[in-house]
Amino acid sequence: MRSVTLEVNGQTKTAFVQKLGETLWVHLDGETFTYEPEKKAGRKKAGQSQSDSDISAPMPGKITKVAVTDGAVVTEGQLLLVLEAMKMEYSLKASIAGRVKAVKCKAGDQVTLGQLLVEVEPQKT
Amino acid sequence: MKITKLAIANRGEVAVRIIRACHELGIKTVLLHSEPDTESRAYRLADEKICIGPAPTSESYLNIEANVRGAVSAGAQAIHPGFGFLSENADFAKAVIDAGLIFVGPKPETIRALGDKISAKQLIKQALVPTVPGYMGSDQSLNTLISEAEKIGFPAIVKAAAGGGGRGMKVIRNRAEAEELIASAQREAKSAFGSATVFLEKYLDRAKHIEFQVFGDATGKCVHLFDRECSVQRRHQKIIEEATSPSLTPELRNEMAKAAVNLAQKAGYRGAGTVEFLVQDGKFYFLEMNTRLQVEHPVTEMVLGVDLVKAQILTAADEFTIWKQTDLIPRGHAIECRVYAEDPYRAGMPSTGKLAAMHFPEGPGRRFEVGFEEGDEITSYYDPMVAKIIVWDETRPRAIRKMLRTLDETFVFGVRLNIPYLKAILSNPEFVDGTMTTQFISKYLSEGLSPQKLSEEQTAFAKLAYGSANSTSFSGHQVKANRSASSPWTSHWRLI
Repeated sequence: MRSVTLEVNGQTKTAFVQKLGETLWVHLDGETFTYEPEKKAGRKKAGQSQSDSDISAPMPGKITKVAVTDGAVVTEGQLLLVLEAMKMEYSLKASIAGRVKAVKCKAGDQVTLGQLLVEVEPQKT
Repeated sequence: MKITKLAIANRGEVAVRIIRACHELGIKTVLLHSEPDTESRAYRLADEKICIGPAPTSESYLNIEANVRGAVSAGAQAIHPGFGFLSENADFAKAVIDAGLIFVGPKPETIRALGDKISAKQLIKQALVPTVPGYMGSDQSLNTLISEAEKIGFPAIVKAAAGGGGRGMKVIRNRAEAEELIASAQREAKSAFGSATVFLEKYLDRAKHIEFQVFGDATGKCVHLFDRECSVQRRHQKIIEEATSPSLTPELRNEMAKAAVNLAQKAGYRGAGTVEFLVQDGKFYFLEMNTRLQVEHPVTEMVLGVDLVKAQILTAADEFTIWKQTDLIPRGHAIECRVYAEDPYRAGMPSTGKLAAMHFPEGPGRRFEVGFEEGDEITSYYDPMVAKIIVWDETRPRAIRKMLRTLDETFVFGVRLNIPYLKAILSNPEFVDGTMTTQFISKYLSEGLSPQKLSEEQTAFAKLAYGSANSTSFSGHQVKANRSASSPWTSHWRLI
C-alpha cells in the first residue's frame, strides 16, 4: 500500500492504492473501490463454460443438505442444496424450472469456490 | 487464588482484548488456538500458544476436553472463555473447575440456570419480570412445535435454547413455512451449540433491543452498569450498538435496571453478565440473559470508564471489590460498529481472502478492536468480523459524526468490508433521531446497497494510478462474481 497524489480534471487528489494481481485497490475521499482495465475480448473466465442454470459454490464451505436427486423435476426457486460457510447457512435454489441432470456433491462435502454442485437443464416443453 | 497464568479459549479480537487485560495485570497468557489461527494477532501477542485442533470449530474451539487439556498442560490456573464458542457452556465451566482451574465467569450451576433460556424464564418469573408469551416445553417434536407456534400466533420466533448471537433463530410468518424454519433452527442450534433444543415466542414487530450490563462480585453483591441499545440487527445479529440507549425515560431505565439487578442477585450471579430486554410501547419484556462478556462491552466501558475484562479476571481471583452503584454514572455517548468482511454491494455476501493492507485511523475518542494484522487471512471457517470500531463523544450526535468520519478514513485492501453499509445506517434519519427498532434493517437495508458505480473522477484517478502501482506479492482471493448479479442465491443466505 502506498499513497499517491495525482491531478485529475485539474484537481489534486491523494489516495491510498495497492495492486493485487490485476486489480487496483483504491481508497479515495472516504471510499474504497477496485479497478481493473477492460478485459481483452475473447478471454474466458473460469466457470463460464457452465450453463447459467447450473449451481456452483458461491464460496468455500460445507454441504449440509442435498434436497434433490438426479432426474428430479424442479421449479424455479426450489431448494436444491444447503451450504454452510462462515457460520451461515446458504440456501441454493434453482434459477429456472427444469430437470436435475446431475448432483455433483453430497452432504458433508467440503467444496471450493466455484465448484460445480448441481447441473440443471431447462424443462423441454 | 492468585492467577499468574491464564488460558484463553477463544480467537479473534476478543482473544486480543483478554491478552491485553492480562498483560496489564501482570498475568502470562496461553492462547488455545486452532491450526489455521497461527495467522492472527492474538497468536503473536500471547506468551504461550497451544494448538487444540483443526479448523472446524467442533474439533477445536468447541472441544471441551482439548481446551481443558491444553490449559492444564501449560500450567495455567484459569481459563477465560471470551464470548461465543464455549463461553455459555455449563459443562465446560464444570470441566474447567473439575480439572482444578478457575473458570472466568459465573458458576456452572448459574450458567445452567440462566444461560439455558428455558430455565432462565422460570427464574425470571420468580423475580416478577415480564416475559413474552411463548412455548418452552421439553417436547421438542416437530408436530408439537408447529402446533405451539400456531397457538402463540404468527409472527412467532423460534430460537436455540442454548444459543446467543442470533444463531439458530428464525421468524415464522405463517403456518406454511413453520416446518422448514423450525427444522432449520434445530439444525443450526445443533451445529452452533451442540444442542438442538429450541423454544418459541411471540414476535414483537416494532420493539427496541435494550440490554443491561450487570456484574456480581465474589460475595454475591450485584450492580448494573447501565444499558446498551442494540436495535440495529440483521437477521438477529447486532451490527451497531450504543451506550446508553437514546430512548429510555429515566423512570423506565430505573425500572429495567432494578429488574436486571434483581435477577442477577436472585441467581447469585458472579462476574459480567447481560440481561436483554425488548421494549415496545413503554413496556419491557425479558429476552434472555447472557452469562458472559458481550461483543459490545466496549461501549459500556467507554461511557463509564471501567475495564470489564480486568474486573472479570480479578473477580475470578477473589481480588475485586465491586464498584459502588452510586459511583457508576454514565458520561457522554459511545457507539460500536462491527466491521465485517462482506460485500455491501452484493447483498452482504461474505468476502474471504488475504488482508493485504489495513488502515485504522487513530484519534481522540476512537478505539479499534482488531484480531488480525496485514497479511492475515479471512477464512470461511469462522465468523467474518474483521474489527470493532468504538467511538466516544460528549453527545450522541457528535458520536455519530465521529463514527462517520472514522469510517471514512478506515480501509482494508484485499477483502471487501461492510463500511459503506455502516455509513448508510448511521446516516438514516430513523437512526439519527434514535427511534429505530429491531425492524430497522428489514425496513430500510435488507438487500444491502445498490451496486457501486464509479464516478468519472474515481475512474480517471484509478486509470492514472494503475500504471504507476506495482503489483505486490499478495494475491487477493476475494469472492468475485463469476456469474451475473441476478444470481439466485445471493439473497437467500442466513445466519446459523
